[in-house]
Amino acid sequence: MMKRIIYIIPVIFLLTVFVFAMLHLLPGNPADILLAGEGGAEDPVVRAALMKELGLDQPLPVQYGIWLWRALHGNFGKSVYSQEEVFILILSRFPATLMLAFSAMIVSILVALPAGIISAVKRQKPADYAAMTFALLGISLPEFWFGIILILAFSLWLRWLPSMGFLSPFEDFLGSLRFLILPSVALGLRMAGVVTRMTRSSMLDELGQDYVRTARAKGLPERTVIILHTLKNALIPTVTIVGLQFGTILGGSVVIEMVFSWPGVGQLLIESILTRDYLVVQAAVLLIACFFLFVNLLVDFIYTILNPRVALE
Amino acid sequence: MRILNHISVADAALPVRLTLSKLLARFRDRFAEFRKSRLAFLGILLVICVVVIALLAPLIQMHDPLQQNVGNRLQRPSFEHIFGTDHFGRDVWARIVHGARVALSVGIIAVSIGIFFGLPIGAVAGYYRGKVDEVIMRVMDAFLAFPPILLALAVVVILGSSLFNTMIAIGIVYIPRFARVIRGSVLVEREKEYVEAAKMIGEWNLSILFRQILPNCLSPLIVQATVFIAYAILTEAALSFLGLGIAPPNPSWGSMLNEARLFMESDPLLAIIPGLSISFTVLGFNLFGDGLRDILDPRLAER
Repeated sequence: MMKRIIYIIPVIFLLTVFVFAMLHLLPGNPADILLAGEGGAEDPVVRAALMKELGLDQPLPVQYGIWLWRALHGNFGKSVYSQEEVFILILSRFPATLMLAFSAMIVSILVALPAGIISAVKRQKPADYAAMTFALLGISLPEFWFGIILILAFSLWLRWLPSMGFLSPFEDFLGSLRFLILPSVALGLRMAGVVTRMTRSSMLDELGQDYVRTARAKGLPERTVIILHTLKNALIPTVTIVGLQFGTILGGSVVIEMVFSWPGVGQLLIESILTRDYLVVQAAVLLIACFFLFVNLLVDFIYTILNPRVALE
Repeated sequence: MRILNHISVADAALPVRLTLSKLLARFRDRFAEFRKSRLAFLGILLVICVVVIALLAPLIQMHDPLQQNVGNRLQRPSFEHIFGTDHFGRDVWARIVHGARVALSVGIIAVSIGIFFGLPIGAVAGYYRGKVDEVIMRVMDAFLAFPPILLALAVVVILGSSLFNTMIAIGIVYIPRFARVIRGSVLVEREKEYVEAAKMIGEWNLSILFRQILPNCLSPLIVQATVFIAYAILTEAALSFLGLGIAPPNPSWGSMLNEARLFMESDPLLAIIPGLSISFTVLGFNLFGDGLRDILDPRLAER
């Protein structure tokens, strides 16, 4: 396990190099690029000052060092668009994205686990086919389109739910749920499909094991067999998949936040790209990737606890 | 294992041509099973449908997809315009049909880029192991640390929005993923006896790798490739939807969806049709991939 943690360090290092390179791979002088964003000034004095601050007269490795040092202290510069500190800006948006991501995962698991289990237990029967169709649609439909369809159905036609907006759960819990449902369902669709399939497959594996035959031979009622014995084991690979799918959720949230105007990091990222606010883009990309890395590490850790037979390389 | 289970040591010395004919023979055997699976067949049908539409696009378009006609905007479906017109008066059917071209070309080329670079990287890492493997996989992990859309976004931001850059961006997303898949297969294969036998004959490492081991790794690769084409189409749609993939006015199913959002209340069809197109195409490739998985590796088949 320690080895895994140590392996992360060179990966993060490479990440930072890539993100740092982003600004310098763009055509033109970084100072000009940053100033070209909305809100930027064309004053040559400002430009010269910016160049000095970025250290653009120094060799590249030195620039990288300066940038990295500042980044480690949480200094990612100021947004050209809003003049806010980039780090603070991103942090302020993170909770909304996390809220969306976790509720998407919860919704998705609440649907997918039972679907997968029922599907495995009643294989080749109508329930199985229904669940498999659902899973297939889940992985084939574009989530943002599904989100649009949900808006069409529930906001425009039925008028049951709002199509966009955000309310903090700390202000009004029930009210915030109204805004949360549609984006969560849209975001969780793909993961629901993947988890359903995975659960079905690992349940089928477990149900075919010898110990299940033994339990049935002992005369244990079918339900006990399923719940007590197979579920526990079948859930282990499912946990890994859920962890891996978190990346898909993070990526999907970028698009879903745009569809529902959800004020999270994804929306911030896209808006910053469109307004050429590249300092924000850099920092957001780096922070999202790091976050994803740590979630993966956490999932690995949980997996080793659940399944002590697995020896990490 | 898969089709090439019984390629023995003697075969190891034969030229690649003969090995391929054995592959085809086994494939023919399995094809009978494939036809039994109605879903896989449906998948192939959908894929062929989309491919044909994409290939024949300029012939079946009926109108110019870029031709604006503001007097004719937002028409309902009619004989003249079978899917109606959009907010600029452009024929929706023509744009859908050309969107198929875009989607398929991005999917296929992005996956090809992924395989072209990912295969040698993964093969070398898996075969030689040791330090080489470590370094290569760390770099691959760095790329895998990004959620796929995010990496594609980052690359498109650097390179700019265009069809070609979208292909490259998504291709880059797939390079580490293919590398991983191949590496996994190579790790398994290199322990087998025919590799040891080839070494004893004195065959060069690279030759063993590319002429002996890799043909046996094709099955998972082909299945992955199909699934990745599906995902690539979804990613391109997402990028275009955000305004960062295929630049307007060129038709792309994703950007059509984005433009339709403004008119959702009055003309929902504009939002429904491109989405259905994406869904059918991706569904087709997913079913096709499932079917391939069934033929090529019966152990993984749906029970």
